[in-house]
Amino acid sequence: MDSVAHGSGHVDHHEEHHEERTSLGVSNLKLAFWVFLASDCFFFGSLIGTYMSYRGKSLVGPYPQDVFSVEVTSISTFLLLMSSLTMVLAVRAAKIHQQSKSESLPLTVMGWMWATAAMGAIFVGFQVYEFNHFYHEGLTLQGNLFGSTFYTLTGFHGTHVAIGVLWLLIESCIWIPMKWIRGDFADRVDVTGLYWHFVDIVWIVIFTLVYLLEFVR
Amino acid sequence: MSAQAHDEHEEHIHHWGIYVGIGVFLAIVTGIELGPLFDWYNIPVIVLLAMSAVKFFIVVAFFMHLWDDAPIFTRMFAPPMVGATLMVAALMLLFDGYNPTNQEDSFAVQERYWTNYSSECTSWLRSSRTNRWYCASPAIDMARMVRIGGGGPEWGNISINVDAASDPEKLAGLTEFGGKVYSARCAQCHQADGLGGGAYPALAGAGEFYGTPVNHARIVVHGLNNVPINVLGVDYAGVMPAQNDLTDVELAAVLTYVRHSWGNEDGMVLPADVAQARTDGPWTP
Repeated sequence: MDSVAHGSGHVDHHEEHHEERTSLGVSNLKLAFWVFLASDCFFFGSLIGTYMSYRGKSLVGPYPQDVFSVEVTSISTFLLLMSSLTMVLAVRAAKIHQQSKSESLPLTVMGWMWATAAMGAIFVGFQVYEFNHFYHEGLTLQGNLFGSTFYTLTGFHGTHVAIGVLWLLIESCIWIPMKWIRGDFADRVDVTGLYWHFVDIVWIVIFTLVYLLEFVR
Repeated sequence: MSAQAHDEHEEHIHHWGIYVGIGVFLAIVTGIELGPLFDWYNIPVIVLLAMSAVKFFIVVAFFMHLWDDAPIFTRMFAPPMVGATLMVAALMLLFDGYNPTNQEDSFAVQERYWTNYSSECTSWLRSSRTNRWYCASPAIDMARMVRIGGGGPEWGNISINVDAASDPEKLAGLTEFGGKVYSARCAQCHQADGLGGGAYPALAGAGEFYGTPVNHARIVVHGLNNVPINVLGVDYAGVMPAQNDLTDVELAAVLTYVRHSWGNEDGMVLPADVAQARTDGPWTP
């Protein structure tokens, strides 16, 4: 733990590229981000809770089974899950890069981030396809309870994924190559990873409650 | 020296194989979850929720590193996360949202809706996945939907379904949908039992009058304007409004319904017959 290092007095607190740390001995950025994720839990909690409350109570169709495409959902789910793996490998590479104090461009980090962004972009693409298909099947935002709650929940999740893709691309294609991130490099990538994993765990819940529950007997 | 001391206290970097192993495990669990989705086998709801919770926990603990990161992060994140989970669980329990059988109930609600409001439902759609009819009105976006009441611009999935089906399926689909068209468009005058009344001729048993599919379609598509006719021994000379705002498939469906209801056995009408009738012009005695 960092607290041990602080106590021993061997750590140079004024080291030029050292990330900012709180009196708790952890990164400001990471702590703030965990607080944001905690608030996002309630954001998605309300949307999922609303969906579940109104589940099966639409007076008019279409109903989930009328529109859900199990193939598209399965591929999307696997992609997002595997993008979490590439993201964690990007974070790992960033830590190695930071600890090696290398001045070279961390291409491994950027590569894993591109892989993550690509899978995220395909996920968003599938969602656009899915929404389009559902709309043509007669499911609209204002048509029934299922439509209203489904589009709101998955739409906000898809927006999170889209923001994550943009974040990954901007970070890997601009911030890192331009060396705008230096001292707190690993933490910055770590935070991007936290956001991405959070979006993934929200999908784990949505996949189970929204999709899987429709198909159990 | 100080930099080295700092590095020793950097977060421990795990071997990449650990992450790949976790990724494979998550993929396997997700693969197992797909069973109910593709109807390979069933998994009880409680087990699915548990599997989802395991995946959730593993990602948070190992991919987000809460397992070995500073405890303050867990203290910041876990209470709101548990709170949100409890909120969702409470809402599910309160409103019965977890019960997979309540989907059945909503179909029952739909059945009642049909029985009670079938004449008010102006828009019927059929799912291409489940082949089930549902009322897509009145709240739904009217401009895009099939509108039996006003004649919408799109037929949606029914034309694909009907064209692809075998003859018995085609007949079942056409009569089923035709019934909806009939109750929205025809039943007011010709009555739900097809017996008509007053100025309106009966359709039950009127096969001799309306004749072949194309003939029948010509009467309905172009209407009758004070043309003297005799149906089942009764003379009429009223106005039958032209139904040319309906699509070929809608008309084929309603005509097939008429030809296969109330004891009628006069064969089905296909969209092509209706198209023929449109070109042939109004029916003449």
